[in-house]
Amino acid sequence: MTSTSKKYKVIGTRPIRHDGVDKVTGTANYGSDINLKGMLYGKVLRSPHPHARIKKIDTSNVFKLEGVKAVVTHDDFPTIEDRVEHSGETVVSSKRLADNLLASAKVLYKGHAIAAVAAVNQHIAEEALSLIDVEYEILPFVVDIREAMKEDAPLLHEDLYTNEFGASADKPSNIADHSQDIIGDIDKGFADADVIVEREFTTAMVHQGYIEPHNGTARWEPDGRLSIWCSSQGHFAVRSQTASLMAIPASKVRVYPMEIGGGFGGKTTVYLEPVAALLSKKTGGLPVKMYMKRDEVFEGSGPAPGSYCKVKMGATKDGKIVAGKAIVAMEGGGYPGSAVGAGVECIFGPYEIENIQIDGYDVVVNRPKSCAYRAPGAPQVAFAAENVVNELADKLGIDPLEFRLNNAAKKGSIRRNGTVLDVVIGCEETVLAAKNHEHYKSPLPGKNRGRGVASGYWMNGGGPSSCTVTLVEDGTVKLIEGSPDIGGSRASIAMQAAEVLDIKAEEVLPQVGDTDSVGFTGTTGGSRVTYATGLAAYEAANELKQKLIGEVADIWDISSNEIKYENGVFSGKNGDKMTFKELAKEIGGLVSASASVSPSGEGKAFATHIVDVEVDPETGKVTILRYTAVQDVGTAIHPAYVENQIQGGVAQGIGWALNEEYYYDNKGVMNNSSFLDYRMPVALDLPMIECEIVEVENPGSPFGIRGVGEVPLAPPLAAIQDAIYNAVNVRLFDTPMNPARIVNALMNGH
Amino acid sequence: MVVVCIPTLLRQLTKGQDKVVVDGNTLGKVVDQLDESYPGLKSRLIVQGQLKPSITASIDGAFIRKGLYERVNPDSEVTFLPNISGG
Repeated sequence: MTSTSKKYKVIGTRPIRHDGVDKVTGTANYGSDINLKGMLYGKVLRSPHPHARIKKIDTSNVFKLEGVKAVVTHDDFPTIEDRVEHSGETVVSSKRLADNLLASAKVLYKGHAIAAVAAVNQHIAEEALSLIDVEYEILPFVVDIREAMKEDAPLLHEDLYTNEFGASADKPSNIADHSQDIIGDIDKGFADADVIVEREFTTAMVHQGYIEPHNGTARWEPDGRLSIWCSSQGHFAVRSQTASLMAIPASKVRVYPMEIGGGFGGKTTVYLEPVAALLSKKTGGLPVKMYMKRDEVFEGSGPAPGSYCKVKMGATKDGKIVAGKAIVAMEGGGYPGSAVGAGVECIFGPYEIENIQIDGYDVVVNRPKSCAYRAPGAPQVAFAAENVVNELADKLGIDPLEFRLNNAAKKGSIRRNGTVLDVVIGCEETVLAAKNHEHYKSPLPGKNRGRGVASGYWMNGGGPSSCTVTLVEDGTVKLIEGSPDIGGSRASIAMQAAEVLDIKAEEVLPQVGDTDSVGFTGTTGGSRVTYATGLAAYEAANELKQKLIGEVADIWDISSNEIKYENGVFSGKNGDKMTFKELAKEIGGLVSASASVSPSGEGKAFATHIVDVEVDPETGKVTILRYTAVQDVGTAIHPAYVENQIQGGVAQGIGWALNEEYYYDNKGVMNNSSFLDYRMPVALDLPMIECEIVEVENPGSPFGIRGVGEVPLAPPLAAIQDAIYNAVNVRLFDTPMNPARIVNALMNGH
Repeated sequence: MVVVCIPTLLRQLTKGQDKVVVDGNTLGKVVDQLDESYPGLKSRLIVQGQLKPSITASIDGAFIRKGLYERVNPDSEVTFLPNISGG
């Protein structure tokens, strides 16, 4: 462990967030706060059926209602060139993206958008939807992933053939993709094992649960440009996706990022923005605002995929894991593109195992198109693998953290795809810190109480980011970044610039620029922003510093290399001194610098969690008594925000573990699409989540940064399962581990 | 020589070898050389002159940013991977 506070002046401190006043006073503008002259309101008609062919859509009656200005269906999209759209953790076909926004030949899930209306107010728009007549041919549906994988399952796409690393199968299937990774000799590995555990697991489809629903406002300008205001995790991705669907150049689209009320991966793709653009175009350019209601968010946006995993692991008596085999299947929803690839990458991530076989399956089902959710795929696979690891340790009589230490991944470890890890990681350090933590050593007295542990891995991301810094005449620095701030990144980026410039964090004034105001920046996702956009800020600030030294050299008529800059003061060899503020006053706002970077030295993220629970055997209710999350964060730029990220991830993991699920009836309809019935944890359900920050610096970052936002959601499901087992001696293999499931397991004695 | 890690599902084209060595100073040239030694590999990886949308590559552990134009050093290790998509 290291201590950042000893190395840096700004990094490692806890300044007040730059956007704090706006947020707490309610003056910050979110997507739905936008109001434009002549603005119309758009609403979406959605499918009541999980699977049906659209035989006819008759929209002719909507204009009989006064106040209706436009109606659109899939046919209003221009001819779209099918290409791949990248957006953060998302790779999607533009044709399938358009189809998800407004269905063409078929509806593929209850809630699938079919048509949209724009009217002078939202009530008229909503009423107009009832005047659209859709004729359906109802088709058999499938919402269960294992059923969908069977050969005789109802087919969602007649043109979908299983892809196996560039080769297509010869007949259509709901399995969109099959991947396979084999290293070593898996059969020999199991033959060498003294103990083998094999289990099957399922996790439910769950939603990110962000407070702010999806929204988008679009207006075609008189010169043919398109303006969009929305809250998203990546306004450059909104630009490219919308431009693609409108068949216009990206330079014709300007996207203004509004504040975002939570995203957690769910706002990395478009839902409403292109539809609002189509409606605006039909009205001759009037602005059209759209936003979802909560039931639309649940049924019509992108939740995390449910999963099926089968995991088999073997270990020797001396506690060495010698084989790991897994089948990982995840729900793409109505279209291909689940998080299974990331799940495959993460499932044995915390371990060094010589013999591995992993088969991954991306499966379409009649559910909403799944999307990223905080470490997409990692919680599902950690629930499976970590439980098998705990059971192996139990059978071997070895402390579960000691067992993890014996097998921890480290620099030099072989990975599941045959590559060798050639960077320093903090896997062992987090396990060791957990093992030595007072929580782990403390007694846990009382009936029906148990303690559980689990580890987790997330690979983190790099990629393109841009930043511009401009000196202001009062000695502050304006910073424009391209990353929407979803987790306090204004502060973490500003602090890195302040560190370079040797000024206070409060003297750097960050804002998020629109797509015409700052260089290309990838989506805020993959735990990439503090690392990648931080690097852009670091580069831009360094360039600004060099330019300022040049300005001082010019004033003093000496060479730049004769000037030192320390503690906000420029010093010359002859004793001349000038402060940063004095220079700013002298030269005004003449100096600025920009940087665009695309780094790939992101540090891997590891976490180990400890949880104590109490189970009420009568009701099955699980109470979280204590929770400690240990995580390697590289360097904690703003430790309070790092802790907040960890606590947020754990809170979401507790909900996923114990209560949350998309509950479908036998008609393929979600029955709990409101926050009343979709049970997310609230403050009363949670203890204070303790954070133990481990700092193993990432050599790929000038400040040693690793992304921190996603890996804390990987271990909670498995840790809580382990704690429940240790409390009441039943192992659960399906989420949510809700009261009904626990009581049932207790009654059946397993 | 550049070391190329062959994904499991492509190893039937490399007679089971999980690593092969080829020449090439860009990813595109590495793919061309691979196809000369192991016919059929290029069509599994490339469509319309680009890596297939479902496939990406890493060079010395770093994901590529410039497609087939990405520079490859003589001692580099190239790995082809499924494009990880998070929905």
